[in-house]
Amino acid sequence: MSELIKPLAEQQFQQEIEHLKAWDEAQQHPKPPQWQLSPKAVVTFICGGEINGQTIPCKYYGADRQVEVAVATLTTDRALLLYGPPGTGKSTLSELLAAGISGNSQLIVQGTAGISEEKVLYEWDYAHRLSKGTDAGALVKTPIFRAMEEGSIARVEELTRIPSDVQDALITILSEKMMPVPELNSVIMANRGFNIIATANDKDKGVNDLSKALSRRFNTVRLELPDDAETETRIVRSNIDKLCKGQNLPLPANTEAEIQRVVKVFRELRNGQAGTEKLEKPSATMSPAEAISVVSQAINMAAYLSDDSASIEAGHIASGLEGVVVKEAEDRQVFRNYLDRVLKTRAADRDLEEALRQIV
Amino acid sequence: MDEPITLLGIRHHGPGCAHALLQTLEQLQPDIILLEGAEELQDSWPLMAEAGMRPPLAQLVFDPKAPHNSVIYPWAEFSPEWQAMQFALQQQIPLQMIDLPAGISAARRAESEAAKAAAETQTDNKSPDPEPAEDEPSDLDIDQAEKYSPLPHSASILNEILAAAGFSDHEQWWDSAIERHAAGPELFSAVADLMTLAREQYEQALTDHGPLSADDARRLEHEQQREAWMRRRIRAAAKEHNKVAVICGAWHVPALKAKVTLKADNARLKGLKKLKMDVSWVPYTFQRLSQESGYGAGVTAPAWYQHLFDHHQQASSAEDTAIQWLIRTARTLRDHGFDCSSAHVIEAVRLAISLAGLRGHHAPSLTELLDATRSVMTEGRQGPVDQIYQPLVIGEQMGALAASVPTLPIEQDLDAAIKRLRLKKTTSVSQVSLDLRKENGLARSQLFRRLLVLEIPWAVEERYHSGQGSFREEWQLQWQPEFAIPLLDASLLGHTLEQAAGRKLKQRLQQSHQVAEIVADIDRLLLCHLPDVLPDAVQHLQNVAAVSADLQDMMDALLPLIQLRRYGSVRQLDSQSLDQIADSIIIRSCNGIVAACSGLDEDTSYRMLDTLESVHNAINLTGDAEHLQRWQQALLLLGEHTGLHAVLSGRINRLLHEIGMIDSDALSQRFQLNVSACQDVETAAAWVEGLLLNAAGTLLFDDTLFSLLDRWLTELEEEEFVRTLPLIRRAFCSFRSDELHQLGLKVTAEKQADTTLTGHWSPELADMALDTLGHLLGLLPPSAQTADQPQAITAEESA
Repeated sequence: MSELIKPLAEQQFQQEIEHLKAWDEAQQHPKPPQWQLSPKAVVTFICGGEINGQTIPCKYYGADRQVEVAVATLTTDRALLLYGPPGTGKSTLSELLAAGISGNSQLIVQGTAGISEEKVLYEWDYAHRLSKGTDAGALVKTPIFRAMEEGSIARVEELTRIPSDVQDALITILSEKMMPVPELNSVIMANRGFNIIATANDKDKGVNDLSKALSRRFNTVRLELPDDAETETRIVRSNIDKLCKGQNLPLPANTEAEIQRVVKVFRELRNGQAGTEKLEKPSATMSPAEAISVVSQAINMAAYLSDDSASIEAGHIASGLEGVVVKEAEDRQVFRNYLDRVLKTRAADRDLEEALRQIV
Repeated sequence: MDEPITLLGIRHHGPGCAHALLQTLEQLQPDIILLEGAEELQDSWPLMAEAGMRPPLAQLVFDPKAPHNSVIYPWAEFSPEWQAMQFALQQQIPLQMIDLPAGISAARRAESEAAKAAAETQTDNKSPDPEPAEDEPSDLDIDQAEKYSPLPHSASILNEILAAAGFSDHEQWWDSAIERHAAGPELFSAVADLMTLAREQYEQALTDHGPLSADDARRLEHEQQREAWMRRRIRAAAKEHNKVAVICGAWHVPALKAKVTLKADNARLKGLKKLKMDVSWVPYTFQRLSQESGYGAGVTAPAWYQHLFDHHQQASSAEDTAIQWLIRTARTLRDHGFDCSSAHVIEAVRLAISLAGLRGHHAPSLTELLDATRSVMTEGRQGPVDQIYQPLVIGEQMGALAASVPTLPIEQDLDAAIKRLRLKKTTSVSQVSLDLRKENGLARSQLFRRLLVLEIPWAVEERYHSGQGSFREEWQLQWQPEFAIPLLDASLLGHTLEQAAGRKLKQRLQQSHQVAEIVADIDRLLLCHLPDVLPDAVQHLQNVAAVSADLQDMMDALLPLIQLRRYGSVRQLDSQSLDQIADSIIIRSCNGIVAACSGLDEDTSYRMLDTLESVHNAINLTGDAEHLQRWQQALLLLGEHTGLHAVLSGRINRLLHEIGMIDSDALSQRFQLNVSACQDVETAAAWVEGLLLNAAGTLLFDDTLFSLLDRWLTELEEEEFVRTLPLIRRAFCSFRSDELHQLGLKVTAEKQADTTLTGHWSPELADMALDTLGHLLGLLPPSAQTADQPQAITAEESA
């Protein structure tokens, strides 16, 4: 039987959602129209909690206040913009919000530099138009179109990658809650429950900045890199658990220790500081998402390419780490200095330092 | 509510509490109010009603003999105590301050300070005794402190209880559950219930607790004495009045309610010593209210509390309160140059309300409002929110005192000085020109400088006069109302400006371990005319200078020190004591200069240039032949040293040439050595820079130097020249424009001279011309055979 690599959030957490629905019912929590869960239940779904004896695990760490602001935003009819550095889980949060609120996280428009207005609003089935004439049947509905009809949440990924003129097509939808279709001389009105969650990357700042008119339609929630090593370790850890379960890989015994080590290296390079020593920073963002990929790559290498699948070797970590840190030629020198000044001086990290020295 | 005694537990500076308190008092109509405030406040509190009194204000209770031993009671309009006092005045009912007299706490503090000082002198006398006295655990002594676990903390017990209700701490609980609401009398019974529960756990924790450390035991005893005192006062009041309202911190309510016999209370309060305290009103600010440290009140958001209180009093809805606040936010954002439309305000209000609902609060509190501000108004950016936090949330309100209210002794001292010196406190800018030779001028200058030491910049010196040789000073005066605040700080140091400034400088001196800093402070002492502190300061300077290993620091201090010694007479300084220090610094400088200058990097070398310059000037100023000779020898040694940065080496060689220690030949030899082709061009340029720095005069009048430089520059390759140019430019930047102009003239003159002089000079031809001239003028007898030739030559020459 074939299995999905990554099931949708609403499928993966179906049981939890049902449980929370029952809780809402029992407690008679007020629900905005078309929401499958109450706002309070959505926050619990994402930030975790203990509900009637069942533990709802936390799915998005270290930003409870931001999650609350995000959910509160969606209860008003304002659209939500999740903004922050790459790899801080903006898309994850957007998916969880859509799954929790509408039970459907699939209505996605992926923002690209080449996207056209048709992919955002609607397209035409030209065969239909030629054979049967221009009528409603000839419309090819985009995810936003369908979300408006169904009264559910649509997701726009990487909003600032979209060219400005196409971005502005969203203004009417967000402010008037309708989409004119001049060819049919009609409009599509949005049903209650419709809203948009957009994500944008602050590394793209200045590429296609939102126009004032559009940005005024969004409430912005900034997601930052984790404040402390503990939160970051938990984020990496929970994602690794999930990935390994999905791939049916056993967790090597030293996984926790290696995660802590990778997180430490990441934080030191990202903040440009190890202990009291100031370091140069590489150009890479070094987000938790990249830490996850370094560790998961190491686990895969341990499982398939190593004699001893029960433990991660320093060499496995090293290859992934090098790829993440060294994005440009100058980063190589920065990384080498880091090896000499920091890793070499720590006895526990000597193995990693030696493994890295062979590739950097 | 018909009980004879009603206990109203409040949170100090809580706007919700203040509102509820007013409601309750209206309803209760007590015939006396008892307030948790030191007994000493009893006589002065009614002054709050004077016209012109504007909160935030504070009452300072201090020991007139040692003003730093003090307690401050700050009050804002939203403080329940302030409202209670106002209520008592309006209703014309008595109000009594029932807390333990501040004089008792002050006596205890004075005693423990004296004990500490005694212990210090004791350990000083017999230093090899590290064992501290058993009952005096110092903070530094970790072993000692570890023996005792800390005293159970009232706040942490409250936090534990409230955590069950989902609050992160008790402050948050007060803010969102109490202050946010316009509650009535029911508030106080609820708060009392909670506190009773907390106090039970606290007492339990105390019983379970092992022996207390001496500090903790003292603290606990003090708390118990306060409560015993208050109980005694309440009993006394209840005898004479039918309806007593007691307003105290919520934590004390269970203890004041408890049935304790008068005998037990009396026993606890027996034999307490008391100091006589003075009380004074002082203006306060929201800024200081928000400062936890020192004498603030730890109110995190005074402006928000004021806003809440105003709206509670106007009975506005929760929504209105949020709307008005966000309108203020928008206005503040606009004032700071950020766009913010009415649409933003609308959306922010909606988000804040919806967020409060999600978090289970009935109305948005400051957290929700700030979250909404960031998310809607500033597009998720924290920066603008941080920028408006101070004016918006903390607020810039400042209190004012009525003219009739007696002021702090230090303020009286200042006013007297101002009157005596015929000055005026005006908020407009005015100029004052002082002649230090006149008594009034000197006194004024001293006053201004003392105020500056106390961080009251009423007068700012217009121009900096180098040294104290000048007897003229120009000052710019502008009085600011907020000077009341640093004046309050100063009042804790002394009753007169002289006392306060002296103490302040003394404190600063004691913390300072840099010779240059100490010398600057001694200079200040002289300028402020604080002779009492001087012996200590000079002693401290001696101590620090004796053990200091930082030669550069000492060398930097030398010039100011010598100037102090020289010009001290203008300030009536007996400068003998400084001679010895200066002498020792000079000797140590001369001995250590080579080591201090070796192996320095570029930045430090440039700093060392200034230091050398000042030491050189200082030693010349002394006029002491022995010092001068020692210094010259040291410089000579330094000039031959090879481990110097090029810029230093260049500078020293010029210095040696200037003072005649090396002649022009030696200088040109060293020049060639240092800029020769085998040196890399940047080092050479740095050497030349050192040579030229501030040396326009030398360059103008010393042909050796000029021609050396000229030759070097003209021989540089183009590429090298371009690389050297910035460094040379840097040296030339130190020249004044007129010097540059003269140098320019010299260079062009030299060039013109070149064109005339480079022709072949022939003495024979010149002689012939002279002859011809002589003949023409009839000075020489005509000679027939040479008559044609000279004419031809003259013609040729003129051609």
